[in-house]
Amino acid sequence: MEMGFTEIRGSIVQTAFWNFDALFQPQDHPARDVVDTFYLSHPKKGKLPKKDVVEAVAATHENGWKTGSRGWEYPWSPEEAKRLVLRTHTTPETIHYLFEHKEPPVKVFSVDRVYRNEKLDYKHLAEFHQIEGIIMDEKVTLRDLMGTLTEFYHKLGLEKVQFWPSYFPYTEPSMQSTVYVPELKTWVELCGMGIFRPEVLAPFGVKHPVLAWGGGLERLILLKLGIDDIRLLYKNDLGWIRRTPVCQR
Amino acid sequence: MPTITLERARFSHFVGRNVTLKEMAKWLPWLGTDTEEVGSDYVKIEYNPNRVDFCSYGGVARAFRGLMGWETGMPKFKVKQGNIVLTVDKSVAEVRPYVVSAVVRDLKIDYEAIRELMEMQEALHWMVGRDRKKASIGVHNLDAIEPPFSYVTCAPNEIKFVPLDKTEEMTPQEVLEKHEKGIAYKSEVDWASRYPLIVDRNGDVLSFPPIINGELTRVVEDTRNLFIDVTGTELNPISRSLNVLVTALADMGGTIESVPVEYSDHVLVTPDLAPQKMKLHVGYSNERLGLNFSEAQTIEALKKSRLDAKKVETGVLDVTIPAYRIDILHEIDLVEEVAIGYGYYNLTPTIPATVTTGKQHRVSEVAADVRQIMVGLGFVEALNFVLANEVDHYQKMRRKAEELVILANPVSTEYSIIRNDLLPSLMKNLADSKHHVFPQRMFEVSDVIKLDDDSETYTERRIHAAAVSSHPTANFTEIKSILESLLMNLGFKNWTVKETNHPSFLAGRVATVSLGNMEVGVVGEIHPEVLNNFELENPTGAFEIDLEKIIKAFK
Repeated sequence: MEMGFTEIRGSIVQTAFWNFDALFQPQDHPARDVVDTFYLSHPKKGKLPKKDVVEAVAATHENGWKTGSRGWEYPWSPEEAKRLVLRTHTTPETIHYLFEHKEPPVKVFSVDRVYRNEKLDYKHLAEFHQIEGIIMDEKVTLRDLMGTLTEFYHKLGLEKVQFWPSYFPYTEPSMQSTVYVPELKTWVELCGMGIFRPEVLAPFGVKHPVLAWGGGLERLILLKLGIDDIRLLYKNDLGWIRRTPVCQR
Repeated sequence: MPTITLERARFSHFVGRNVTLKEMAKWLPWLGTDTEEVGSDYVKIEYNPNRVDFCSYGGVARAFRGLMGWETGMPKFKVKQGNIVLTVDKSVAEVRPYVVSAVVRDLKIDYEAIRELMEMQEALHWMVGRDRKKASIGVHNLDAIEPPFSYVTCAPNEIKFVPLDKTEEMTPQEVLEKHEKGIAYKSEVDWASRYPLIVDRNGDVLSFPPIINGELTRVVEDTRNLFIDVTGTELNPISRSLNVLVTALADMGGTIESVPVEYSDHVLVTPDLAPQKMKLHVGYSNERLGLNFSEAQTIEALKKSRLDAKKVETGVLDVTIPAYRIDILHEIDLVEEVAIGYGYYNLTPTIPATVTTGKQHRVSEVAADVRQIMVGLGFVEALNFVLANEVDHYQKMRRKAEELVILANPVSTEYSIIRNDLLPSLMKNLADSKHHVFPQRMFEVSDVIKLDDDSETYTERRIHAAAVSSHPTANFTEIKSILESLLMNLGFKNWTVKETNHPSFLAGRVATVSLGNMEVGVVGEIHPEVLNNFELENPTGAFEIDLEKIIKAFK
């Protein structure tokens, strides 16, 4: 907020359309598999948005539509897109918001619940929190994204930051960031980021570049608290809560 | 994510000069790979699924030479015109319609190469083939079979062959029932009346795609010449898989030879290594990256990413993309190639000129107020999962389970539904904290999900606040005064408390709370049976309110 971002909040249950299709993730993408994503059996399917948006997304997947992309070259299924999921990231809300706010500038963030179909162990949770932020404006660049993240990490007391090439289905170019944690004397991978692909923005009529980043909140908390079992955070053991200082600077 | 272990000496051989482990560990990440492990004489890297070409030593070495500036521009591969024909029978259209093929000669195959070949196939099956559905590869010892070859179908028990890793002959039907690979992949063909098969001129079986090869064509250490088939449901994925594979084999020293694939109405000569062409506007690239590159600088960066480019007019480049780069979909992908060729380490951060003021969401503002007040009243905050189960949330709370939001594929019985209120979570927290000092007072301000016919997802996310107070003298009056204190501190002056019935609370000590005509929550003493179910010994007061209704009441 200090950096000028407005908080957004959206549905935890999403249609696959917003969670995957709107973000140019093909319907046979492994991340959409039941071993990775929670689907609902009741209610089972949701509703799709307006016809013209659905058609644009479908065409972008099938042949790139008018984006200049070759697309994913497969027949897109509206039924698959209606399936209800527990969102696997907070980005469906971001693209939803951009769809409704096309005029620049837009700077929004969320810190909110996301889900992965995973067995719980000391470093994995099936339900956790994602930090996400975007900047949409006429002339923002990949270097601006680096600058924004550097400032964000500085505010968390993390001084040394590096950016590496990476890959995400809905951003291009994409980056991964690592930060140096003096307490651990090591570099730790935190947020992933990039510029939203034209195939993501065009169907929703967004005309300006969108810088986006996201990462797990719990990872950051573990580093700050110096604990190594992530499950402790949601155990709500009264003794542990009473012992743990509120102030963590 | 897929990985590849790069042994230093072998990698040096592919790169064409001696590289140290330190150099590998330092520079490989700038290609977009993650270093998993640096061993005594190897580096294990994780690569992204878009860079399928990193599934081979040759593929990583090509990119590495470019990044280091040792060899730039597009790598060239020659395809010799071959005369080994693969005929496609019409009947395959019913089950697995497409096939492409290649011959690779004069390879020196050692143990390492066989392992690499197997890993490449697995990587391609997973990343391009979507677990063999869209593309599956067969690599055969050409010298064990006699061309021409045919892609045909047969009835499930029509023929017999010895599948890979077995000694006995089986029919395709038996392979699907008994062979490990048959069991794993049978759903790709078992619905068809006839199964796909690749055979040689004598009817000897090369492969039963996408399930298993024949033992006859097994690739061993002295195999020199290979026949390759890639079959699938669409032409593009199989052609791309073949291109990635044959270019890697060419880097291993092989000579690529084309195969005329004769479909009933046309002939396809494969592999087709003709490069893809795409335009890049230098202005677009500069705008996205925040650079001010000339055409020449942009071309230099692209060449380091192993692409070719030439200026066709001011600010416009013609970019030539090698056939193994199957990940370039759009001009924006070339922009990333410019950034990688230039080096992300050369990009310095800048601060965007966008000026805005920040704001918290209304729900978060009110939630923060409630948290502050509850802490002031001596309560400790808990944060629980929205994932829940029927036993804790309904059975133990003495409620009938109805109107549930249910997971189709829960990972465990503990998390099989989505909660629509908070109190059961707090009861569970008390149960987990029994051994700590009393009084125990906890609260949660968080999400619940309810069914809602009007919404796009037929569900609605709401924010609730709930609290429990558990100690020997806890009672209705205490918890009611806590709730009233919360409402008062939120700025309300009037509310009504009215006796009600609720299965989780003790009769006569439970009430609804309303603001005006709007019922916002419930307060009371937890029913002894519920306490028993959670194995709690102390009386416990509790309330739960819907904060969205509170926000409505503010207006």
